[in-house]
Amino acid sequence: MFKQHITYFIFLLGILLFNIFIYLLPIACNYNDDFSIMYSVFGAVCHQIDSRSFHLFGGKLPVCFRCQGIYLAALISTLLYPFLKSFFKNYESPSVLLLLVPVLLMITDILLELTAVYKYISLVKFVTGFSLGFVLPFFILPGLKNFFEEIHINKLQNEYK
Amino acid sequence: MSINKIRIFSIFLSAFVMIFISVMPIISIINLFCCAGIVIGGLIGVFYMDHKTKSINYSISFKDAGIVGALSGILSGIILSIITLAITIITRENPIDAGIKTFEEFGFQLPNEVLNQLQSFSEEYSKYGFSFRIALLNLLGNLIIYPIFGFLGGILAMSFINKKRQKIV
Repeated sequence: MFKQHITYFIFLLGILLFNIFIYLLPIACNYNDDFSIMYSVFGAVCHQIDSRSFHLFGGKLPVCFRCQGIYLAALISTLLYPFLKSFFKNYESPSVLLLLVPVLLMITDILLELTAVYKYISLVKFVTGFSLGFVLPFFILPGLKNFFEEIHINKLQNEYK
Repeated sequence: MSINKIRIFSIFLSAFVMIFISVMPIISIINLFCCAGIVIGGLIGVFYMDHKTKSINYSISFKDAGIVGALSGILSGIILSIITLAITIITRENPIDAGIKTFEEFGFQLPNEVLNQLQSFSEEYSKYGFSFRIALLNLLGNLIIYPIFGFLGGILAMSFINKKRQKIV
């Protein structure tokens, strides 16, 4: 029997480790500069502009305010997932609209900044990122569950043959 | 077209979109929003696969979507590393020297250990036209990030397709 909660805990562990890594990196760099090379790994995911990133213990986080909002919110919503949804009974993704709203909010923010309606506001970046990060696990977790369930069923079918 | 051909074509299409977004100037900014370009690549590959498989009465699954996303991520990660390396060799650019100069212009004092490390990279660039260690680090980073975000893109696309299927039923 495929255990749905294993998928949940694997995802939770992954996103937890990712967040721990983000917050530990500036602290680790205070002790040993060799860790600074790890910033390049996050460089592929984020612009890492100094003025647009949160600083911790004198060091810059490897991601900007918006990305920080996304990853932190994804962790919080993953933790809350079993309470927000009847997790072990119903494992379906919500309406696409739920994802479109934060995406549109983010695009609007980018356009308003590009057209100089307002200047860079770190709180706005964090909040728009947070809103997207919060809804993402509601789409990813059901997908992951279905993915591993199908692989499990395939494996059982092959064994049966 | 057989299902395997559609799968392979979807992987190539998906990888092409990922590479195009990552390489093109201005457009590549999309990737700075949590690798949105890679996720979009995964989404397009799976939507294409779903569209093509309808004609042969094959219903794609989450397994297909995840595999298409992850494999296109691996493929684009490798190709992109090669493109980056080729551009570095052709242009004979030394990004380390430029980086150190930028730091100095902004008045940052780099610690001696970091400076020594950067100097050794810079020497590699001057000697061979590229740094093997930086190229390897770039490849490893791409091989971690691209398949993960490609896989997520594939899974997301399949969630949308599944939702649409449920509505039809």
